[in-house]
Amino acid sequence: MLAVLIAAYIALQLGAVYLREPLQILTQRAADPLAYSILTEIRIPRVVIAVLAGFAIGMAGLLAQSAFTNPIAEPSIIGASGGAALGSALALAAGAIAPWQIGLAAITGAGLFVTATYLLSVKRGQLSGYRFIVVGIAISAVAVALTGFIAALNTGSGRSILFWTLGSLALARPEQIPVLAIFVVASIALSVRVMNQLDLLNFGDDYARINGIDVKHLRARAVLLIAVLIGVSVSAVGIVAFLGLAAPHIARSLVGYRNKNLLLPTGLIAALLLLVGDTLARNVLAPTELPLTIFVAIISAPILIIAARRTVIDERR
Amino acid sequence: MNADSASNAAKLPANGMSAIGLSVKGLALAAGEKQLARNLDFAVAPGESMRVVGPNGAGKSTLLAVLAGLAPYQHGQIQLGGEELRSLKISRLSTLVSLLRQAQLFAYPYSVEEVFASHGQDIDDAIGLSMRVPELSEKRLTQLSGGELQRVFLSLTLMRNTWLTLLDEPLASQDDEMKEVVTSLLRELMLQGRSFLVATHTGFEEIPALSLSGG
Repeated sequence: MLAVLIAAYIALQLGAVYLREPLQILTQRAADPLAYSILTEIRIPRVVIAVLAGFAIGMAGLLAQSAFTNPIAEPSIIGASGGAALGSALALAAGAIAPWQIGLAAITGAGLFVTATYLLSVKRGQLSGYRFIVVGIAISAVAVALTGFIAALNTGSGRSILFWTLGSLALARPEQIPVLAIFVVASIALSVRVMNQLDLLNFGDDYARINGIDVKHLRARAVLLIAVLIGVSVSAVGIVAFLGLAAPHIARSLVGYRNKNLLLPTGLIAALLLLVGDTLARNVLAPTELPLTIFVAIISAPILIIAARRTVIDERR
Repeated sequence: MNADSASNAAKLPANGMSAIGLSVKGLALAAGEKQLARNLDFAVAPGESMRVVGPNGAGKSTLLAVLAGLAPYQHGQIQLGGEELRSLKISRLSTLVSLLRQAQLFAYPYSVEEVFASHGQDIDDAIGLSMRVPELSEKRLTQLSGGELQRVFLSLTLMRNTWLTLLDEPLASQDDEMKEVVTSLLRELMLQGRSFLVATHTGFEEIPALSLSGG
């Protein structure tokens, strides 16, 4: 939590124009109106969106890894991110501008594509983890290809559509904040109650059933939450691959395996990684912005490796 | 549902089970295409227990899975408390029947302590203590031996305090000392009025046997 606040402060300072005392600028608007408007209109919204979208992506990764009991499940592997990008692209191509319109289109796209992955990987009522990942990768490829197709057809908005497949906060706007905030907070509220049930899925579907859990219903709920979280985050920042995979594992190396204990740390870790990644993306070659995914991957990868080496997954006595 | 579940055990029959218990009539068991048993008839009244015996592959595990609502049955009737098993909701069924399977799978290596917390159960419960589970609490599931893993999940199964408890080879992975501990704990719970159906190759000779011949 503290790390997120410190990173947010530094992110407010850094940019094409360096602002040494962001808090002072905010309290003394008249002294430097230009710096004030850079902060309130560009940097603060950007930081808030990075934190909310990061939290959403991390949480979606945790839900995916727990609901499908697969440590390599993540939103961009199971079709959620691709479906959300496709939904956003369709909405943009149809002329939608309002954040809630694009957000809803993205949620619908994410929901449809994760559901497709789920239904196509279930055979005789049994979910195979192996099949789930393979089908998810195929479904994701279709979604990304269709998104590229729509981008190619729409030369005008094509560039901003392509941005969804690379991830960027360059187009982040303050109007996106309410939509993101409402859906993220609602998703947290709806997730908290099923965290213990998700723990029992760790011991197999049959085990969860013996313990009175309606497994189909639980997974449907997880799919809905993943779709909402990924829909709103992708419609704001595009596809940020790898973050949803890495954040839950990093959190597990710190607080253990119970989903209830993982929810907040996973969200905060992902928020921190996205915020730092974005700050690097817009400062390394300032004023040129680089794709967000590059820096999120570069900073997450070493931390994930350290986390993986700390955990005891394969250790026997 | 924590420290006092041992004292709850004394007030059985638990969970409003009427005097009807379990009644199985004309049940046919199959594993895939293979027919295992036909016209199986037996009944377990509240407070009674049975052991299920028979050679490997005779359908002992399949029978327990069917009774726990995990596997469908085409022929015959299974009534629990007077209600047909397949018409019971999963949430209701889980208050009447619990099952310990032979092998327990897991994806992530939770610590034993985390497993009990996820189940809302207290590891220092009398049942856990008698099976020496608290001394495993810091260990992760990957660090347990087969017998230790079985004791963790046997404890959790017994702590659910259901009317009927189905146990598939509960002694199989235990050493001689723990075999005695588990056997005497189960006998004590039977005396308190809980019903068990135990698939086993050895032990529990004092309770009636249901013999599956297989083939």
